[in-house]
Amino acid sequence: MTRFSLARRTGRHVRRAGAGRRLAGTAALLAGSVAVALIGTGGTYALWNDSAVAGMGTIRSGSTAITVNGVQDYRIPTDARLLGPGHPLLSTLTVKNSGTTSVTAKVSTTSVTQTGALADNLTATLTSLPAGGSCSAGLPGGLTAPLIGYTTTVQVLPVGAVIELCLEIKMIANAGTTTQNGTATYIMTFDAVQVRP
Amino acid sequence: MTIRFRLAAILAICGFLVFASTGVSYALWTARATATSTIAAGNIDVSQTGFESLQYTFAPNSRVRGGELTIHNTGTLGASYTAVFTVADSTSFAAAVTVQAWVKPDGGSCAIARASITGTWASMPPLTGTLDAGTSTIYCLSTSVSAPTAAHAGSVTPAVTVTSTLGGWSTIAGPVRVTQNTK
Repeated sequence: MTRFSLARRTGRHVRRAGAGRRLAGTAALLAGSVAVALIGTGGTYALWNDSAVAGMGTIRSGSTAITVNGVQDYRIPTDARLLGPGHPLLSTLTVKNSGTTSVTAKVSTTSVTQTGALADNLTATLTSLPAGGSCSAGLPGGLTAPLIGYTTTVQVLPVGAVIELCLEIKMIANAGTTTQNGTATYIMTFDAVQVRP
Repeated sequence: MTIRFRLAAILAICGFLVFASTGVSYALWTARATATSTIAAGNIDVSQTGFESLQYTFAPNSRVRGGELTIHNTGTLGASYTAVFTVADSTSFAAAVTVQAWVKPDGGSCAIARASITGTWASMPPLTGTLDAGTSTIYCLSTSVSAPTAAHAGSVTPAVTVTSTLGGWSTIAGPVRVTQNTK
């Protein structure tokens, strides 16, 4: 009985010693991982330190901003012009990076409401105008797509960059008679994202 | 829990700590501008007047009947038009009536015939043109029969239908019918 009990105690001690070693090993590995992590942060923990008082300085943050024809929310005047087959509507849009960071910008229609299914039968074309160029129908080199869901690719606009765009809203060739007297209101959105420094 | 599993877990923690501690964030500023517009489509519409004035009975001493056909673009957009002449039953009398049409000059009258479109009620070429919104054009029409012999006697009911088109849009005015006959 005594021997048996002794034997059992001895076995427990062996298992406890093994667990202790594994715990110690785990702790060592954790300590190592923390050390690696600290190395990763590039932090040093030297105890020496010093300090100096910097002069009063002003820190200014930059800004990201984009404007269309000088404002953030531009209302395109229609001048009572009416749309029809062969009667497109033209607008010149001046897009400017008015912030202090370079941006990538893209254009998309984010809202379209309509009557008479007019918008369903419209296309939009955005064409970059050369310096001094005028906005006219059928300019080559533009991106033409249905007005609903219109999206351009992104383009980099450096700080202060100005792009002149010709916007042509046109009725598709086979637009039906039901589109007569229809209306459409659309919001063309210019989204700018700061270029990663 | 095997030692291999534990090792993998520790390495994962280690990696997480490394990347978390180096955590450079790349929140980028954004900006937005909009251009808004409300656009409206126009419409096309057309009307015609004056053809009724050709209603007539020819007689030996009155073998010519003149009149005017006014085509008016009553829509809000410029559009082209076509005035087509038809007869319900092409009789020999329809071919016996000569028809002339020409654009009435501004400020002028239809008294003097000009370079014209000529045919008969059986085969009259269409009148075509383009009109800006709200404008009209006037055609002078002259119909005549030769000496009213038995072969040139009868009745005809010509009609004119004006169609205005713009791209896939079209609208019609008419037909307007008149009857011409002989005593």
